[in-house]
Amino acid sequence: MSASIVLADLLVAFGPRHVLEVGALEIEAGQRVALLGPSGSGKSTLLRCLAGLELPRRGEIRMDGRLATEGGRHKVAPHRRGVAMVFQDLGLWPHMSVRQTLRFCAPRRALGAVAREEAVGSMIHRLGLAGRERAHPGQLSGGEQQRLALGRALMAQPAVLLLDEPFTALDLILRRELLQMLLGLHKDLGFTLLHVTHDPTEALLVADRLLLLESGRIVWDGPPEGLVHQETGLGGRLAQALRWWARVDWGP
Amino acid sequence: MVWPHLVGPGLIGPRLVGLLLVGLLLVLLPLAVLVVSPPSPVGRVSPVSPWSGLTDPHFRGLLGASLRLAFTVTAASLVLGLVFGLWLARTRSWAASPLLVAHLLPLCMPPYVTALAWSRVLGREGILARLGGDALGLWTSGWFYGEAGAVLVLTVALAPVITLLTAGFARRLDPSRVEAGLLYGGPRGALLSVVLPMVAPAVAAGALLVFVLVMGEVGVPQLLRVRVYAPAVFGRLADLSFQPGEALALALPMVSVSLVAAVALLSLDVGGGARAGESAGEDGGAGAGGRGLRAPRSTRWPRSAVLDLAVGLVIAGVVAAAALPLVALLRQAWAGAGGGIRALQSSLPALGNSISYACLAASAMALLAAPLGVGWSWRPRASGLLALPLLLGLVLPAGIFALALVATWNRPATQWVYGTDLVVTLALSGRYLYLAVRVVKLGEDQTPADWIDAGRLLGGHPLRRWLLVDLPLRAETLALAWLVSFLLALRDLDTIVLLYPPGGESLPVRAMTLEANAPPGMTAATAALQVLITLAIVLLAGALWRRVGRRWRT
Repeated sequence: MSASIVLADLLVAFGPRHVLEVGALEIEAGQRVALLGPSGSGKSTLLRCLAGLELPRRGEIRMDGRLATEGGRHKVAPHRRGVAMVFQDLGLWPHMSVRQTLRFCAPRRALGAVAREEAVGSMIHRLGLAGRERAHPGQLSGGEQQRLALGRALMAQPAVLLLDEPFTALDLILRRELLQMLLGLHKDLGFTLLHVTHDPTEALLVADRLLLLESGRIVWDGPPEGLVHQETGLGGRLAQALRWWARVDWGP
Repeated sequence: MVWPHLVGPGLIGPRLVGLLLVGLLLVLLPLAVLVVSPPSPVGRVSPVSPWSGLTDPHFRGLLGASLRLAFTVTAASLVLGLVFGLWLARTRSWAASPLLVAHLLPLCMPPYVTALAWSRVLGREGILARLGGDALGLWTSGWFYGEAGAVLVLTVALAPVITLLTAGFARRLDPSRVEAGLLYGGPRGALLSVVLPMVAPAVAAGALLVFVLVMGEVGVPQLLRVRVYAPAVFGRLADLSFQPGEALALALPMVSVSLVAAVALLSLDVGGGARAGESAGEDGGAGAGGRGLRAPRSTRWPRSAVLDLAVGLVIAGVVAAAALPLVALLRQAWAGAGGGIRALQSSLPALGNSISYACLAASAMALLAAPLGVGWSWRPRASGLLALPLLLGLVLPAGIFALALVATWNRPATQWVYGTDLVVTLALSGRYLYLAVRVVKLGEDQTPADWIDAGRLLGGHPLRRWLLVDLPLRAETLALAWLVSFLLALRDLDTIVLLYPPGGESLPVRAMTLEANAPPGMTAATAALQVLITLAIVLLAGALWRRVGRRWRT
């Protein structure tokens, strides 16, 4: 499989503080990658660099073979990178209804007006928001808002979907529903998925590859099942935490 | 949320009732007295029909000219304010603060003084005439003393209203909404479909305010000899031709416009949403909340070559609009050094009066605004409607409001009000209290509820809590409300000119009197004094605002 994302010698700094340093990283098309790490480890910064919302001080980012960022300059604008993102606080536009939001994000050139409306209708149905087309974000429940944010991202038909901890604030049941929906959509649409999360169990469920970040550096890169065998470092601490959480006694 | 339960309707309720009562007493009561018994000599019977403004061809023509002027100034202010406001919201440039001060200065001065200053640039003996010769001076004064000059002066004076609202709203936009717009719609899509619709209510409110202020403006059209409605109406309140009944009848169309504007402003309810850290009503849910406090400067804002060019032009205009008139005023004041110094000496009593009026009015407004603004912040929806009388005080033509106070207080038994500074304090409070209350509300909105809740839980005795928690949390906001009120009172001309007690003329009134009767150098020195004092207070308010902003961001 070809590489969808290639990063080389990337450095992001806010003043004198280096918040992200990545020597080399390749992510193949269609992979599901989870980024795990403590707060301030550079997970969200990495996603924002890929989206073109943050400018690295040096290094290059290639997306689908195209040079997107190089030497502290964006070569490709955010909306031309084939990237979509679900933000941590969703960032839904309060003045747009469900239908307007999805219509705004549907590709204009690739689809004609009729096809676009059909795609919007189909996405609304798929998200389970039928009957809520005219509702604005403030009129939607928390779960509906999450689904709309996900649908908005997918409506753009991205090659790469970035999720910046969008499910953190949800209860366990809702989170499971949305993760199942996400996995189903990934299976159907085949996008590359980068999922930032604090929760190792969520990472294990979603990803086929794990990246552990600490103090702005990737400290471990491997398959999810490899994490439980880690003994030291961040990986070891996460593995310990996972084993501790698994000690639930379900009774006879 | 602990605070509303602990404080409950026992304290918030009275604050809301207070909001209504203060509006009723300061604004509606004088207006009611004016309608029931207008001041002598005309009495209750008006010699002109209340509909003269609409039926008489002369007044209809003037009304048309007023509307044309107001629309033109509003459109120009929209362009200037929107472009500059969006730039201010996204820029990280060090130049933003000085440019903002330069842009705000004309708003903080009486428009009449701004017009005086511009006359020293574009008049027949202005600096352009000196640089380019008499022919240039003739040409520039030809169009300056007319509608174009009025549009220039009033746009420079009032566009900052739109700038402030646009920048304030745009800075509070959730960065991820803008970024999502950039990702899915590109710079143009983000600007047109995300940023502009989200700042639209603020921009519309600013435009409405500019429109009604231009409709009621008297001093600038009079100075620039523009024949419009307000000077024709309020000319009937001048000493020698005092015809209050006529003025009242003719003012009916302007009052109607003000009423419509007040209701429209209320329906836009800019900044009337929920408090920081809470679900923001319609804007609520996971997409809102405390994230609105995140400093938006980390956001990548939509950029385009056209927008950059427009910003460049606007910045050049802002610099020119601030620097040219000030330089011209100072040059003329300096050139007639003897006259300038004499003017300063003779203007000292007027300066003392101005500061005295402004101090009294600002203190009264801050004292009233403190409880009312806090109450409004906690019950935004109910309060918006209850504040309608105060909003009316702001948007009504100043002449009508002053006339209402004359009708109410010019009686033998109430000379202790009418013949003293008290009537000016009442007038200024009635006109500007709405804005002071909004400043306190804005500060309270941004104060995280957790800070106040923690005080309720851990602060101990109510007095101790009030002294050590509540007051320090709000001290900067209250100081800011006082300074804003002080500035508004200091710049007022149209209200004070009709009400000041004998020997109590203010500095803007003095400048207006000198312009008619004294050498230009004396007027320039008096106007320059007003500009420099205003500049000092704007800088002080700006420093305080930055301090409040820093505290909110931590």
